[in-house]
This record gives sequence, C-alpha cells and structure tokens, in this order.
Amino acid sequence: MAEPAATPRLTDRDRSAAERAAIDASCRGPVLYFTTSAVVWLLIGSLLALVASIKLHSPYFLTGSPELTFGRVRMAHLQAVAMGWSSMATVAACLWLMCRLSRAELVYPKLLYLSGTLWNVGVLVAVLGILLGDAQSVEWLDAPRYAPPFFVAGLGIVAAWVMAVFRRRQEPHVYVTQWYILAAVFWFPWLYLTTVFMIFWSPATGVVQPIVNWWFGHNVLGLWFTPVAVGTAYYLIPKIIGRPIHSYYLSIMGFWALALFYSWAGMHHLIGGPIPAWLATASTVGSMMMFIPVIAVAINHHMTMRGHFRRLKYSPALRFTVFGAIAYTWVSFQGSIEALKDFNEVVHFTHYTVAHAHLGVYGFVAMIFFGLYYYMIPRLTGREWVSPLLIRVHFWCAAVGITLYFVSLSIGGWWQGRMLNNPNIPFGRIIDYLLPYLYARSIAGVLLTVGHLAFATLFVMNLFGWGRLRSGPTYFVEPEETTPTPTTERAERELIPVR
Amino acid sequence: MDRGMVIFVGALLTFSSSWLGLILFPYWQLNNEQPFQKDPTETPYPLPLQGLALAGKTVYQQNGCMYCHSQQVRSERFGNWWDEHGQMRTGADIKRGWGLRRTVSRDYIYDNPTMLGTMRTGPDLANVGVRYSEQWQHTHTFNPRAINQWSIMPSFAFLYTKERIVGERSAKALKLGREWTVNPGYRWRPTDREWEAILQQHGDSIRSRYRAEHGSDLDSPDSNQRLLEFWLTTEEEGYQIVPTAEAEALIAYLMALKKAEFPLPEAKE
Amino acid sequence: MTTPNPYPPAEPDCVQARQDAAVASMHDSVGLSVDGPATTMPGRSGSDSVQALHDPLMREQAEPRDGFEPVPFWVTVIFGALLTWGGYYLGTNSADFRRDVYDRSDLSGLSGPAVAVNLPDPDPQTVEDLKKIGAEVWTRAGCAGCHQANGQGNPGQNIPPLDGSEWVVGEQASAARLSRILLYGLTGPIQVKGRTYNGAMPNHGNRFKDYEIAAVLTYIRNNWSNKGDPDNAKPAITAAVVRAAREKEGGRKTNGTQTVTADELLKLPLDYRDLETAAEVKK
Repeated sequence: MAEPAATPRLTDRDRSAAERAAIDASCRGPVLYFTTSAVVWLLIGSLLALVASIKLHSPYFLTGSPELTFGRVRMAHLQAVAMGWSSMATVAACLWLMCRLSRAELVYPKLLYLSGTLWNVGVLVAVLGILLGDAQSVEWLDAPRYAPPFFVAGLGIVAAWVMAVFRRRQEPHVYVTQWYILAAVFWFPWLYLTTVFMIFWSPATGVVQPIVNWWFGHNVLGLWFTPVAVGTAYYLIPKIIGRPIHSYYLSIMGFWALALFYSWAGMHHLIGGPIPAWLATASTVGSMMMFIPVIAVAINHHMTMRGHFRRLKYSPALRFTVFGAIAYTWVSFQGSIEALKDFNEVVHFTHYTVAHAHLGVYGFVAMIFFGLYYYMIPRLTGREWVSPLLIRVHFWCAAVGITLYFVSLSIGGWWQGRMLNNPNIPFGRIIDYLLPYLYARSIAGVLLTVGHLAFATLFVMNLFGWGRLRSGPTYFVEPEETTPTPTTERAERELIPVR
Repeated sequence: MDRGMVIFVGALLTFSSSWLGLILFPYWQLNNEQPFQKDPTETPYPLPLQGLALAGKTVYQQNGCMYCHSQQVRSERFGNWWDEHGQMRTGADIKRGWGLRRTVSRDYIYDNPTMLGTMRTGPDLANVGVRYSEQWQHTHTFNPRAINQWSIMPSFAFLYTKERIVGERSAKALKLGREWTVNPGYRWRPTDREWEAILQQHGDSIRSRYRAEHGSDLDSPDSNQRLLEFWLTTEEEGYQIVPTAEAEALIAYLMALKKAEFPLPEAKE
Repeated sequence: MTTPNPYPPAEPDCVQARQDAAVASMHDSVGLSVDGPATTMPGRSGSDSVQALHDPLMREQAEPRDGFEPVPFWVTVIFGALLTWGGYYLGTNSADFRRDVYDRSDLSGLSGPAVAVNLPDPDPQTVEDLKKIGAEVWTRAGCAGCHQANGQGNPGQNIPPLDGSEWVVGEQASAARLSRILLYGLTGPIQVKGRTYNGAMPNHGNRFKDYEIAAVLTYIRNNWSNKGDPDNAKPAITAAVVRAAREKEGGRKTNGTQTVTADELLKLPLDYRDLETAAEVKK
C-alpha cells in the first residue's frame, strides 16, 4: 500500500465487526446444536468413565448387572467421549472457524442440523448398543453394526459442507487453520470408510484386521482431532493476543510434516506383536519423525505468546488453549519416545499408555476445545459468561485432574511394565502394587467430572440467559484497568482492509 | 497455500502413502496366509473355531474382555529383567508360561475379529486353554476372587444361574463354598447376629461336620471364628450354581485358545 | 445492562440493519428474532441483544494472519538428523520387508535353525540345581495358580496342599507316584492330610521335559516346610527317573486323556522304583 491508513476509520472497524456479526449470527443455530450435544456427551462420558475407573480398584462396585460390566462400560465411555464429545466439538470448531476465516456466512443450516441429529443418534445407538451387549471389541469401533451408517452420513454432510463454504470464501488468503480443517474432513471419512470396510463389511484375515484397526485408531487422534485442535490453537492464540502468528514457514512445515508422518505411526500400538518386523519399524520411524511438526507448532505458538504470558492470568480462552498447546508438545514428545522399541517393551500393555492417551485427548484436545467454547459461545449467544468462580472451578479441576491422572498412571504403569517383564514377580503382586494408582486415577476422575459440571452449568446458563447479566468479558480475575478492552490504537492499526 | 487444490492434492498424496504402505501392502502380504500342514496326514494348524467355542467368542467380544486381556505372546527377545545374579534375561512372556513360543500372524487367520488386545490389566490369554481346567475357568469367571484374592477382574455371575437343586446336584454345578454362592458375584459373610442365630439352629451339625472332615474338635480360643471360616467353605444346602449356555460357550472358547503351542517354522523364538 | 458504546456507528443503525438482513435471510432464526434472542427467554430483553452481540465483536482483535519469521536453523538441523536416523533405522530393522520375520533383529535367524535347538537339555544331579530349575518351572507352569504360592492349596476348590502333604514327602510319597501325577494328571478323589479332594490335576507330560518335571518335583519336596531330600548329592527324582516312568507306562498319553487315579497310585508299592539305581524317597 502506497499510503498507510494512518488515521483509523471507525467505519472500517464497524464494517469488519458487522461482517463478523453476520457470520456469527448465521452460525448460531448449527454450531450451538453441535456444542450443546458435545457437552451432553461429555457429561455422559464422564459418568461412564467414573464407573469404569472405580470398578478397576473396587471390582464389587455395580458388578451384578451385565450392562454395567467393566468391559462394556469402558467401550461405551470411549464412544461417548470420542464420537460424542470430542468429535462434535471438532465439528463445531470446523463450522465456526471455517466461516470466520473464510469470511463467509454459514450456508445450508438445515443440512447441518440433519448431520448433528444423525451423529447424536449414532452415538446414542453406539452407547446403548454396547451396554446392552452388541459391542464389537474392535478398538475405537466398538459400536454395533447398525451405528456406522449414521456416522458416515453425518460426517459426509460435514465434509461436503466444509468444501462448500470454502469455495464461497471472501477472504483470498487461506490461513493455516483452514488447511487443517480441510485436511481433517478429507482424511477422517477416508479412514472411517476404509476401516469399516476392511474389518466389518469384508473382514480381512487375521492380523490384517488389527493393522487396519490401529491405522484407523491412531489416525483418528492424529488426523481428525489433532489438526482441528491445533488449528483452533492457531486461531485463538494470535486472535486473542492480537499479533500475527510467528512464522508462516513453520506453519507450512508443521502442516506437511504432520500430513506425511503422522499416518505412518499407527503400528506402534502393535510393537512386539504378531506383525512383520518392518511394519513396527516403519511406525517407529514415523513416530520419531513427528518431532518435526510438533517442534514447528510449538515454536510458532510460543513465539507468538512471548511477551504476553501475563494475559494467561485473565483470559479463560487463552489459558485453556495454551494449556492444551503445551500438553500437545508434551504428549507428542512422549509418544515419539514411547514408540522406540526398548521403551515400548516396558510400557506396552500397561496403564502408562492409558495415561498418555488421556493426556492427548483430554490435556490437549479437550482443553483447547474448552478454550474455544469460552471464546466462541459468547459471540454466538450474545451473552458473557455469568460466573468467574465457575470458570476458575472448571479450570483448576481440569488442570489438577488431568495432571493427577497423568502422573499417577504414568508412574504406576511404568512399574507395572517393569514387573510384567520379570516372570519371577507373580501377577497378584503387580495388581496389589497398582491399586493406589488406580485410586488416584478415580480421584482425578472425580475432579474432572466436577470441572465438567461447572462447565456445563456455565454453558446452560449462557444458553438460556440465566444469571446476572454481565458486560465486558468474563475474566478469571478482574484486571487492574477499568476498561477491559484492548488499547484502541493497536486495535485500529491491525485492521484488515475492508472491501 | 492459498489454493484449495494444492491443499487437496497434498493431503491426498501424503495420506495415500500411508494407505498404500500400511494397508494395501500388508493386505497383499498377509491376507492370504494359509494354515500350516507339514504333510497331508497331519491336521492343519490353526483350525477355525466351531460350535460352542465360536459362540463363546461372541460372548468374549460383547463383554469387552479384550480390554483387559491381550492375546499375543511376545518373543523370546522381548521383555528383559535382571535375575538374582545380575544377569539380564529376556523372554518374559514365555517365561511366565503364557506360551511356548511367540505368536505369529498365522495363529490368527481364523479369528474374526482379531482381538489382539493392548492392555494387560489381566494376564495374556493367547494360550490359556492349556493352563487351566474347565472347572477352574468356570469358578474364576463366576467370581475371580474365589480363586485369587487379589483379583480385580469383574465377577461374571450374570453368566451363571443360582437354582434350587431338584434331585441330585448337577455335574456342571460349580464347587464353591457358601461364602461365594449366597450372594452370587459377591462374597458373603453373616453378621455376628446372623452367625449366632445359625449356631443356635445348626451349631451341632456344623461342629460334627467339622469333626468328620478334620478328625478333631475345635478347642482353641478362636474356635468360633474358625468354625465360621470352615462353615463358609461348605456348600450351600439346596442350591447350586450352574453355568448358562453363554458361560459354557465362553469357557469353551477359552479352552480353545491355544495360540502359542504348536511349533511353527516362522516362530523361531 | 447496557454499557455506552465507545464506538458509536457512523450510521445509526448500520450494524442492526445488517443483523436484521442476515437474520431475515436465514429462514431458521433459532430463537433469534430481528431484535435478537426471543423475548420469551428469561433474562433477556430484545433491544439489548444487538448491543451485547456488538460488544465482544467490537473488542475483538482482527482475524489472525501470518508473520514471516524464518525457520530457525537448529530446526532444520534436527529435521535433517531425524531423517538420517529414520532412514538408517528403517534400512537396518526391516528385514527386507519380509512377511515372515517378526523380530526386527532376527535377520540372522533366517537361514539357520533357532539358537536353542542344538543345545542338549540340562540334567541336574544335585538337589540345589534341581530346585533352582524347579522354581523357574513352578512359575512357568503356573502351579501357584492352584496350589498357591505358600503351597497350601485351596480346599474349597478341591486343590490339595503340597506343604506337608504325605504324597509329597510323607508316607505315600514315592518317585514313581509323583512322576505319574505330573506326567499324566490326576483325577478322582484323593486323601491328603485327612481331607478328601476331588479335583482335576492337569497333565504336564506333553509340555515339559523330563528334567523340568524332575526339577519341579524336587522343588516342592524341598520347599516350605518340606525336607524331602536332605542329602544334596542324592536327589530322589532326577530326569532319568521321570524318563523311566514314561517308559514303564508304555505309550500312555500325556495329553490329559489318560490320567492316573489315587487308587492306581496306591497300587504302586512304596518301594517300587522305575529306575533301579535311583535314590530312595525318604519317608
């Protein structure tokens, strides 16, 4: 531009705000539908998780009925939190972020309602079907035979929708979050269809099934949840702070390295198993190569945050998101090391892996989505969060809960693995050793559930407009300045040109 | 990267590399594995599950057993520990008695779904069919703590029926003391008041039974307690616990799990 | 609650007009009337809503955009190092991508037989050596699963104790009897320490070698309170003894279909020995 727009024009700011208002208004219905469904499934999934966790150290707990036997509750829990909470929050993120970043209004809302309903029905059918005895015992795909069509249909609608909105974009520049969303809605249907085909519809022979299964299972984490969660962090961190993301080149490197390497890592769940050696080796290499995209993303986020860490004291959205982003780095580094053969020898089959998995889906994915909710929901409903106390309860229960969960099961799992590898230690001794860690995990689960209840309370109150109305953002603690809005000059300077 | 086509093509190529490498190629390599038969007179190994065992596999599947029990034995070189001489040794799975050799892909060709499992909350079951008798399996499945006090495995009492004995006790009835059968799936103890009442009513017969089995009377200070312990191990009168068809199927499946017994040429460890 | 808008719009109803137009065109204004959230919802009044929707939007930063810092050099170095390691590891641990090699370090085993095949079986001759191997066999065979780690068995489950059992170190014990129990399994009632047990001892002859059976028998005879072989140099049961028992039984199946019974064992005299030169079992 030859001449910098020195004097900020209030109409520019107005117009961009007006545009965003229109986008948010158009997104309101479908996104709130998905976010509400996700919160409901979060609560159901938390309850199932608590039951499962208690049963492990107190086997007489609710052991009378077949519907509540540990195996079934565990499978139902996974479906509720993975396909219910996480997936629906992922879709909500895709919808809103794609609209916002494309600067295009949400189209075909009725199709999205249909998709959300199909999805809800699918998860309900999955959870009930499993508890009533129709489970498949295929990891991540335990849902009975009649559930996948709902997911395929719901997912297909979302994928097509993302393409449709992307094509209508007003914004010529495609931001990194959009790459992740586009890729995720392309990859997940491919994953799902291939796996359902090769395990259920035309079952492959023998160990080919777990090979396909873990290609799917690992890629659900890495090519569906991770891209959208990382994309969300890529949106929220620079957005809330008001700075550009540190390096476009690191974004490119991070995205393509994730695309290339993550999908190869799946066989690390089968190291030492009855699969040819080269498969395990290929996955060890793929897993170690994941250091690259994770380092790239970590640098990007950290350098963008640098100098602004004090904002974590105030902004719930930022704090949850940064917690999640740090957990991403940590869990990915841990995962890469865990795929090395000598480490895997010890921790395979143990609770260490359970701790790792939960750090990923909860410490990373769920925390970032909580951050998204805290940012997005007030913009959709037009109401601020009513209670900073409940937000504080939610954050601290979540943070302390997941930390306790991770630490207790990692320590327990590591020693469980060492003891499993020593045949002179009778199995009973291993169980006795693990009990205190399993109790600690239940306590962590209670904390997490309390946090979810606080979150759900906040969510419902915001949705229905209950509670005292607030103006201005709801912070953890009120800042010293009286006007909570950012300084005008900086905000004006960073206007995007309005057409 | 402002063009959707670039993103699409890139995502397609990167992902299809893993699809080709981890799905298609292993499928081509492993999908048509045949059972091993040294010469035509020998039975091929493995054989597909049939009848009751096949039905039992479904029970195993529907109750999520795979999520605590793996079904794969790792090789002689996996799993190291240091023995009392400070020497490193390997092969923990095999040394624990979970199999005579590691399991290989041929062991699973008739499994559908192939439930390898990724947790060992409980022991590995690939070769469990050779380790325990049917009777042990039934008792253990009914209430694992009847056999192992430390067990955290759920009780599967809902796979068994407690019924009144009509005529003779069934040959299939579980041989369990009353502490395990009065409240199926749980462990029962009478309260002090209940025990007093029972002693008043049946004390003599219990004592004479004790005498018959142990050949002597109780005469220690805690004889009351020891009599109670003894009485709890006796079978409940008039009732028996019998397996349902599901339980029989499940145990038949477990007894058929012999994946690490038959020597295969490719399982060199 | 209304706050004064610090950024009054240039045209009085600019935002509201766009909002109205957007809502009207949506055909599905979920709870959102032209005045904002429906007035029937508790706690909201219509005219405040646009203002409230306005606030968060007005205080928002611009949409995120990219900065153009270069990739740090050390990242490229790490990337290169990882790629090198990855290529090397893939090359050396893939066993030529064969489908029948399962252990990534097992490339040498492809052409030769397994390592252990040509080694002869050990044949321990002292009580100490037999006990050491026997302890390992005890674990590997899972004996404690029934007989318990303390050798007390489980009377409720018809599993007799081994500690102090007359069949192990007492008046009913003999090498011939013990060998047969382990080789073929035992079914039917048996009296142990004054109590009848009617269980099923599994067969072990088809899964364990003679020296292993001899070892575990020596182990149980000299463990807990049992002192069956006081002379370290003269164990009562060695591999040769077990092998002789097998031979004496002819082709008797060790797969559990031809178990022994207590009656059959009692018919074997206590001083009967399969192997003439074997040491006698101490009473």
